[in-house]
Amino acid sequence: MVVSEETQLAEVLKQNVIKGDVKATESCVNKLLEMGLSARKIFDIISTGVLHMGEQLSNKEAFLPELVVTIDAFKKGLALIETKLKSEPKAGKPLRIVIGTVEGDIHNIGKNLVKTMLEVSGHDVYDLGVDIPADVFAAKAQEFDADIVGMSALVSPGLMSLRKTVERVRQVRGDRTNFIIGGYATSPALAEELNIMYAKDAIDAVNKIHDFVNRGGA
Amino acid sequence: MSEFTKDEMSTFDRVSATLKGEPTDRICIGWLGRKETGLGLPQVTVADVVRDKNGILLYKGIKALTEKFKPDIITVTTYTTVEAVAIGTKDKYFKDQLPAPVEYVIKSPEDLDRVHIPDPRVDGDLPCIYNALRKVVRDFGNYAPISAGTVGPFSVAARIRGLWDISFDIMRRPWFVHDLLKFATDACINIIEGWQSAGATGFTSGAGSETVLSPEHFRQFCVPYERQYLQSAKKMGFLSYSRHICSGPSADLVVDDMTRFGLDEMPTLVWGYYKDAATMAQKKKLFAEFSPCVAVGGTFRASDQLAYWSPSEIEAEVNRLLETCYPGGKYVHVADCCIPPATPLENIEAFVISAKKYRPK
Ligand code: B12
Ligand SMILES: [Zn+2]
Repeated sequence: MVVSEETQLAEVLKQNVIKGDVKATESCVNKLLEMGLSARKIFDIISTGVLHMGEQLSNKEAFLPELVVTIDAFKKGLALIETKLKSEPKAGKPLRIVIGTVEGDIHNIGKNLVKTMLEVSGHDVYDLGVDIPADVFAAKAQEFDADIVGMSALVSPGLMSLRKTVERVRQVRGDRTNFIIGGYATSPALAEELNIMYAKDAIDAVNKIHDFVNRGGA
Repeated sequence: MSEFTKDEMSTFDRVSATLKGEPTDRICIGWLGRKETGLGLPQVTVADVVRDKNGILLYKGIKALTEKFKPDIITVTTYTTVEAVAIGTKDKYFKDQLPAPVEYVIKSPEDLDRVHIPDPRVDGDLPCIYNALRKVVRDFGNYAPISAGTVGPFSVAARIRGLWDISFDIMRRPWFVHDLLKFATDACINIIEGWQSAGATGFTSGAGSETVLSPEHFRQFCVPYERQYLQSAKKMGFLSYSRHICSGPSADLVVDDMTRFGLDEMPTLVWGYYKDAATMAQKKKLFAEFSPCVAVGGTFRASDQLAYWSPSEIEAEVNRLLETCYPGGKYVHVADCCIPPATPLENIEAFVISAKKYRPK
């Protein structure tokens, strides 16, 4: 079987993103652009690199430092195709996801990783940051017409704020907005009680949202 | 299997026998962390306690808890960013929670030239600990071993730089991480020198940031500096070492690396997150291969089980835990991490009393 130069380069690009090698990533992206590959295809390649690292994180084969440089390489690669990407049509209809860490909680590492994994899966993600009050979640969900609100909660006192957020968003959005939660203080049981989704890690979040779309959500 | 002795022991003898795995009169109770709000000081907020440079509220809280529950080890601490805040990191206070960092002081390698090693008597909220410690030693120094410490070199470095950024530096400019760690190690050593002059005999270390690293990075960036911290503490004359393992993605993997710190340097307690009771019992055996004087403790989850369960649920869970972890001694009864300041006192009571009453089946 003959492997085309393009396929070979795509694999090299993916590996460079995985390694977090910015220079090599940029050079591959530029070459693929010169070869006429669409920005969308390049986006998909660099995204698989990030998702691969998400799997590794889930299996405890990679940890935060390895992920941080992968994300950096991804972002640098993305910067080279961003303008072109915006002018190309997306494959499916992306979900609009508003994500943040609940009020009283400043942990942002897990949330940041989930945000990136959802972005590389093609969704439009609006990151509100940390220590976000329920009313702000609700207002932003309304402003962005969010399909999903994602909440990170690592400290237990934050769960009060998580519950309040579900309540407020439901008041404003009815059932137009669904929820996904994650972080140390959350649990599948809490998600079940609130009738929302739970993800144990970033890859799980990608899969749960994928299933949600397949079930006809949003 | 060690048995209980009939004679009542002093706390010092109980702690010493526990570490060696010798018979004790009852289970050794470790420190109880809920001192930030203090017993009987319901109107007092966490911020009131930890910012009070005289350490009076912290002292009162520890005194009240010690008199009520009579633990065998007393630790004088406040919050886990206190060292970084004394160096210049900005924090934020939340109701009924420990303060959290919101802006990190080291934004570039040049910033490292602008910060100074904190003086525990003067800088940030450290004087609160220093002054409370002196009073606690005055009142309880003859009653129980008293310790104080820091979150350890790696966690201090992560809390002055930020966890995301230090993770990036580990991969891209490890030299900078080593510079940060050298500074953080000096800071930790200087701080515990202060604690020692205030009368602490044990020193503590360990917090969450290091359990987001791979075991390789843990060995590279955590172990050598922890060794230096431990060796300096030994030279200063500290008598015991208490090492925390915080839950985090690699906690299960790096727990075995605690042996690389040098558990035989001095009597050691390795406490905190263990996946379950059976794992803690198994690690107890592992650590004992490295030192004759080492104990484990933890597993019981402070932030949900201790904070939110009912006293009877807590009692049942303590008994379950002890069935697995007590045999062979070398077990100190502590929760897995910081006890949330708002934890009901009845819950702490159930946690302590059930262990004090415990007898193996
Ligand atoms: C690093 C850390 C810190 C750092 C945070 C740095 C930062 N910029 O975020 C610092 C030192 C600042 C810190 C501070 C505190 N912390 Co802290 N911290 C941790 C630690 C060790 C690791 C968290 C982490 O980053 N993990 C790495 C990432 C990759 O994993 P993750 O967060 O779990 O995220 C993954 C999944 O959970 C999921 N996920 C996460 N968020 C979301 C969101 C959505 C929408 C979805 C779908 C999925 C998802 O996907 C992520 C990626 O795979 C945890 C221990 C733990 N087991 O979580 C304690 C922990 C969370 N901290 C704790 C505490 C108590 C505190 C403090 C209050 C006091 C203290 N101990 O210092 C303060 C202040 C907190 C506050 N008010 O916000 C407790 C919380 C207990 C509780 N339930 O109440 C923990 C659990 C430690 C413990 N065992 O007690 N902490
Ligand atoms: Zn901890």
